[in-house]
Parts: sequence; C-alpha cells; structure tokens
Amino acid sequence: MTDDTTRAQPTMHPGGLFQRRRRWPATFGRVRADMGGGMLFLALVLFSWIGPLLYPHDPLAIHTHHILAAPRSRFPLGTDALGRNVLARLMRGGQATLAISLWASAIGLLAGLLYGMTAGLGPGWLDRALMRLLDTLLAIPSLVLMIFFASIVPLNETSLALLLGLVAWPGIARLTRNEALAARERDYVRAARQFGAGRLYIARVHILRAMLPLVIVNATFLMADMILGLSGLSFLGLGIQPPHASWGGLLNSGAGLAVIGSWWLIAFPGLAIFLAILAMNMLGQGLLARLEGELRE
Amino acid sequence: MTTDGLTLAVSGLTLGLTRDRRARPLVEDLSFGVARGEMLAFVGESGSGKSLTAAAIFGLLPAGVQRIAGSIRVNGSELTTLSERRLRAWRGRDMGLIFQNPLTALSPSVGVQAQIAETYRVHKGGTRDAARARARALLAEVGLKALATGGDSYPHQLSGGMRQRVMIALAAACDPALIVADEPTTALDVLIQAQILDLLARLQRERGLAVVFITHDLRLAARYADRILVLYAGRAVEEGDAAQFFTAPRHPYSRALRDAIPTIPATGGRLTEIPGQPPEPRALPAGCRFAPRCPNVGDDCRRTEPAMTFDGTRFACLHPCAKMS
Amino acid sequence: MREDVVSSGLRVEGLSVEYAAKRGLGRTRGDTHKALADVGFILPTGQTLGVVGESGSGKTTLGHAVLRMTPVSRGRILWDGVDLATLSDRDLRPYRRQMQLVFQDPYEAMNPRMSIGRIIAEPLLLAYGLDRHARREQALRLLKQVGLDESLLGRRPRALSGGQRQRVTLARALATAPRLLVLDEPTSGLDVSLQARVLNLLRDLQTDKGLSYLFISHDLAAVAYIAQRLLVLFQGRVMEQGPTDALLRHPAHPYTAALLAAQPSAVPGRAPKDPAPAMNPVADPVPGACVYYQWCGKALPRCRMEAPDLTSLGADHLVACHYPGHETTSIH
Repeated sequence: MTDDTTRAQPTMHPGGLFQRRRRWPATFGRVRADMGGGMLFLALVLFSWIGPLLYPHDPLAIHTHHILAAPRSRFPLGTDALGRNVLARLMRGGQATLAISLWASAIGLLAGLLYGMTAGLGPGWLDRALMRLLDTLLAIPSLVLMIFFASIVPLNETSLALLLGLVAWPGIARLTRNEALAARERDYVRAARQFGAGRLYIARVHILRAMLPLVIVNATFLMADMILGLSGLSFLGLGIQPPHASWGGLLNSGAGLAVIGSWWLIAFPGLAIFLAILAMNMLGQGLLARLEGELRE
Repeated sequence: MTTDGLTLAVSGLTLGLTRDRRARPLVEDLSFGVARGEMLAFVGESGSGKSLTAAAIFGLLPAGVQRIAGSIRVNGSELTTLSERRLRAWRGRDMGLIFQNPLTALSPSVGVQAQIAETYRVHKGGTRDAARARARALLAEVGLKALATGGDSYPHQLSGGMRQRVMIALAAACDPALIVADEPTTALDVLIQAQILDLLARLQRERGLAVVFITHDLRLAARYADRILVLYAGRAVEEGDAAQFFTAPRHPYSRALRDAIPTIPATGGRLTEIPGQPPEPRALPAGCRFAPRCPNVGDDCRRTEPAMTFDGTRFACLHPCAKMS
Repeated sequence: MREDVVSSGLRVEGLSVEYAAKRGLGRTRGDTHKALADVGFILPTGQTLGVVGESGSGKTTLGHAVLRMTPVSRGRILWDGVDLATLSDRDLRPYRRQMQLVFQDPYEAMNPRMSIGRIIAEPLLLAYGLDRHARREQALRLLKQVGLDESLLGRRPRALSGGQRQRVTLARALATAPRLLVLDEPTSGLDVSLQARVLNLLRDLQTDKGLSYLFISHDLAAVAYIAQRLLVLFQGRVMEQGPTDALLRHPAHPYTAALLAAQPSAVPGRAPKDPAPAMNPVADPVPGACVYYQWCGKALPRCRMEAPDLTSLGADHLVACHYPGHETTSIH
C-alpha cells in the first residue's frame, strides 16, 4: 500500500482498485477549511477598511490624558504610550499590512511565473543559468537579504512590497519551472508541437491553465508568508515607519511596555497577525484538498 | 456444484454500490470454484466486474462498493463473516494477490528480500535469518537468482518483468492455497508476458496451487488456464473447459471475443467487432444484458434474463451458438 | 540505390539516434548510447510497415525520429525525395502537417482540461488558423470519420472510454489531412473487442485516404493484421525485415522466432513446450558481437566474434544473422 499522507504537493497518482482512499482532513465539523479561511480573511479585510467608517477615530491623534489606558468603553482596546487609540491604529495598521502583503504576493507570483516559465520552456543552457542564479539567491537567508535592502532604500509602502516580493518569487519560480519541464514531456504538448505550436502558445494554453489551481494554492500560502515577513520586518523597525501603524510595528512599540502590564499593546496586534496567517493557511489547505480530490477523481 | 475439496468456492456473490441502492449490482449472483492445482481464467472487458470479484475475495473492495450477498469459502472456511483483523491474517498466508502494477504493491523504500522476509515472518513467525533465507530461496525459485544472493535490491532498480516476478515470490511466500493474478502481464512485452505466465503455471503445477487468472485476452486464458469463465456486465455468461471453450464457445459474447482477435498469420478477412458498448451499471437493459449487442438476439432475450444451463459448457443464453462452429 | 523507384512515400536510410550516455553523477565525454543504429526501410504510399520489438528496442524512438520529434544523429529521412533530416524547423513546418503521430496512451495525449471539441480543433487552429465556426464544423466532420457521435464534443477526456479516446486522438491526427501516420502501439491499452474496432477503422481509413502507416507494436497479431511489411528491431538495430507473411511463416532470425513463440496463439494448449527465452536486462553488450548474442539460443562462436550485417534472403527479405533459421517454424 502506498502511503500518501505525507504528500505535500498534489500529484497525480493512478487510483488503482486496490489502493486505499484517504480523505484529506479538509473539514472542521461542517465548515470546509477553505470556506472558513476565506470568511476569516474577509472579516479582517472588513475590519481594516470598513472598520474606520464605523469607528471614525484618528489613529494618530494623541490623547495626553489617557496614556496607556487599559481597554474600557471610550478606548475599547486601550491606548498606547502616547495616548493613541489602539483600535483605530489596529484598523489602519491592518490596511497597511494586508495591502503591502497582497502587493508583495502579486509581485512575487508574477516574477516567479515569468522566471520559471522562461527557464522551463527556454533552451537548456538558459534553464541551467537561471536555476544556478536562483540557487545562489536562495543560499542567502531571506531575512538577511531584506535587512540589507531595507537599510539602503527609503521605506514606504511601495518599497516594502517590492522588497518582500523580492524574497517571495524563488519558490514560485521553481514550481513553475518544474511544472513547465514536466509539461514539455507530456504527450499532449508533444502533439501540439507537432501541429506547429510555439512556446508561447504552449505556455498559455497547456501549462498556465493546468498550473492555475496550484498557483492559487501557493499564492495563499505565499500571502501568509508575506504577512509574517512584513510583521517580522516591522518588528525589527524596518517596516512602516512611525507614526504610521502596521501590525508588526504595533507589536514592536508595545513589546517593552507589555512587560510592565500594558498587555493590550501586544495582545491585539498579535491576535490580528495570528488570525490573518491562520486564515491564509486554512484557505490554502482547503483549496489544496479540493485540488487533490479533483486530481484523484 | 459441490464445494467439497475446492480451494476456492464462491457462490451467489453479489456486489453493489453502497450509496446508490436503486442501482443494479455491479456483480450479480456469481458462483464458481477452483480446485487444488487448477487455473481458472476470468475473461471480460473492463467494467465486467472481474477485478471487483478478485477484490471481494480478499476483502479489499474499494470505498463505495459492498458485498450484498453470497459466500466466499477458502479451503472450506467462510471468509465473509471474518473480522477485518482475522481476514488480514488470511491474506498473504493462505491466499496471495498479484497486481497489474507491482509498483503500487511493493514498498519503494524496502529491499525486495526484506519485503518477502517480512511478509513471511508476519504470517509464519520464525527468526529473521530463517525468513531471509526463505526470501532468497523464493527469489531463486521465481528465476531471480541475481537478487537472491548478496545485497538487497529496491523495486525501482528492477525491470517491469523482474518486479512482477518479485510480486509472484511475495504472493507465494507463505505457501498459500490460492493465488489471484489480476491482469498480471498487461503492462509487459510479449516475451516477458510469456515468461511470467510460464512461471505462474509452473508454480501452479509444482505446488498444487489454485490460481484465478484475470485477463481480457481470451488467447492467454486459453493457453494457460484449465477452465475459463467469461463475465459480461457483472454476470457470468459462460464457463467451461479451456480447450473446448476456444473451439466451440456457446455464448455469442464468448464467440465475439474470440473472433475479435487477429490471428497469425492473418486470415485476410475483417476482424469481428462487437457493436456498441457494455452497459453502465445504472442503465442495464431489461432481459439479457448482452441483448443490445448480440447477433443472435430474439424477442424473448429482451424479456427474460437467461439462467445458467449446462450443455457441454455452462452458459446463460436463450439462443446459443452451434456446438461446433 | 535508385531514388526514382520510390519517389513517393517514405524512405529511410542509415538512420541513427544517439544520446550522450549518463553515468552516475558525472558524464563521460564521448560516451554515447545508440538508441537507433543504421536503420533503413521503404514505406510506399498507401502501405503499412509494422515495426516490432520490445520496450527499449528503439521502436518508439524510430517513430519520433521519422517525425523529427527527436534529434537525428545520422541518416536520411526521404519524404517524396526531400531529406527531412537536414531541414530547419521552419522549413520542416509544411511537412509536419503531412505526417502525424498517434500516441500509445490516448489519455496522456489529450489535455485533461480541454473539451473533446477543442482537442480535435487544436491542430486546425495551429496549422490553419481557422475561426471558431469553421473549427467546429471540421471537428464534427473528423469525429464522424472515426465513428464517434457529436455529443462527445463538449465532454472531457476522462468521461470517455479507452476506445473512444483512441479514436479521438486519431481524429485529431487526421485534422491536418496527413499522408503518413505513425501509430505508436495504438491498441495495446485496449480490450480485445475495442482493439478490433480500432484496427478495422485504421484499415478503412487507409483504403479511403491512401494513408501510409508506420505501425509500431509489440503485438505481432495486430501487426500481422494491418501491415504488409515488417521490421523487427532489437536494441536499436534491425534484426529482420520483409513481407509480413513470409516473415511470420518462416522467421529467419532467432529473435523473430522467439517473439512468435511467445505470442499467445489462438490455439489452446496448456503451458507451452518451449519456454520463452530468458531476457537478462542487466547484461552489458559484448563489443563486436551480435547484439542478440547473449540472448540467442543458437549462438555459435562466430556470433561473438563478428556482428552480422543485414543480408538478403531473397524476395525482399533481409536478416541480420550469421545462421538464419531454416526450420519452418510455422505457428500451425
């Protein structure tokens, strides 16, 4: 009996009569993981963008009489060391965090697809060169790479998205390249070539479309990585610069004060980051399970 | 049919979908027996239920399919009432299964000697050394002397034919009474196919094994088996002695299967086609299941499902072909 | 050779395909693996040449090489007198339409995400750039030609049976109105009843359209049914070549005889008297010897010393053996 529980990537396997079927643990009770994750993510998006409309408080306003106020009715999530409203900052911080992560994922995805497709469909020497370059890049720890670039470019939303995208694309590139290489050997791609199909046609019609579900799944995982990466950078002080808020930045500024009792300064941003990453992972896992099911059929 | 002395006796076996209760059974009222030292060939197209029957014997039905009725006895013991745990002890020890694709059945990360030795030890006990010696002897017996000596080899290092030999050694490891071979040579070249089936036939003779050989190729069935059972859409349509069967099949489906095969040298004529397709289990025709594709069909065929009758061979047909064709 | 004799059709001379052999992690420079060595044949228009051999014999490589789907190391592929082996990809394009491949596994040969209609129409789009309407019309016509119903147009490959799938790939191959089809084991995955239908269909199409077939198979019975001439390959070399009937009635090469003996015959009989010869895939070839030397039951010292050339047995029958069989191993 083959053991396919440890399989991380969806791959085709012949469903012989004697093969035991296993179901991916894709449901929590009655709610599917991808549905739950999607709804959770939507909730976070609504919180960050619709929240400020329902709770119109300035995240930068300083309330000098309410420094480090604990959560109560006027400030539901308390205030920080400068007397700023944590709930308002959490909402605005959510906008920055989610938007930058989303852009970074998109940049990483696009760059990865392009790079991988070029390597996978191009001539052998180009593939070898591009993959060698990729290995070199991967040999440098991504955090080191980010810290290096973050120290030499001005930090704003655009540069942060680009910076994160820079470390995001190699995984997607490798995946794309492998898929493209595998697809080249498929009989239906050989057939299309025999009919006179060019590289672009094959990439568009036979490879990209087949990869789409896999790409979507990986994009969700990538998004989770980006949220974590951005939060990490911000925690190191290399993210969105004060006084503007981001979830990681809130954690950073609250860390010291939480030790002396202002727990709300790290509990709520921490929860937000946790929920966002959970949402993306649930979405990814659920979609992966769906994909597995489809392939297995 | 008396079941005394039969290694495998299946009677009234009916398999159906678990979910869809209104669908007709996938295998219906199937009865057959295999004696010691005998090879019975199951012949039929894909979807005829031949592999499902093999799965049922081993209690390995795929999800969604269940046994609705019928008894399966091996050496006189009823298997259908056994718990999964007791059945597991039977599998491998008293009956061996040979798959079409040995790669799905062999563990990729364990050497073949070790796999055979492990199977032997699980069922028969004994020391590791004894089991390993047994594994080597078995490998030599199936013609893999190179694998029987020295270090162990992994399945991916072997050719398709060698893997299938390992499968046979594995199936025969614990001196089973019964071996079921499910399309064991479909993926192999003709020369290798002949070698594998020669080997199976040799083991059957030398060890007095009862063998169920599942194939879609009537020629292979005729060449190796003692008896042939033809399945169509989940029902047995004809059963008889292999030699007699080939010269004078009585059921029109058996005859069509025979006439669809090209001969060497070619006769020059067209091959006989069977029009249409086998019916889906959800849309079985009324009366005889083969009626819509049958050249001998009469009005009565569409009303009544023919029962098995005996006239030279056992067959289920209202308008059988002539005794000698 | 006189080229004017067979100017229409396919003529292959001295075709060799070699790959750089990989050994362990490094690659030994100059070491080559000969997938095909010096293969030659003539396939006149409207006829079928059966290519017989086991996996690894190079029969699939031969099919791909003829279509220039795999790089050719040496030799000529003359198609109506034009050497395809020397053409650039661009110059090859018009010829590609005239020669199509039908793959062994029809399911693998179809994009599982595409509908049958799109699959059949793909060559029409690529080769002629037809618009959607014209493509649909042509797809319908092609489906009908292979005896399939138009209701299949919207289905996915996995909803089809094996026989239907093979007919769909056949329909697609016919889309560019080819004159030569390379059929790579087109019936080996099919049940016997479906195999009969595909073989009959291939025969009918050949009669209707004057197609030439390069029919690759390990099933001698299927080849005997459809091919006028046979080419027996072993380890990339031609062992025997000749008219189907003569070759099957009186196989001259021991390998051909072994293939025939292993063939499940339509004659019932318990386990055969002559067990099939043991194939030992791990053995390294002996340099300078006949490639079949290690497997051959009739090998003599000379077979080890010197590789036999293809020699004529008369009447268009060639064999590469020092001691071609004289006994008439007829199957009856």
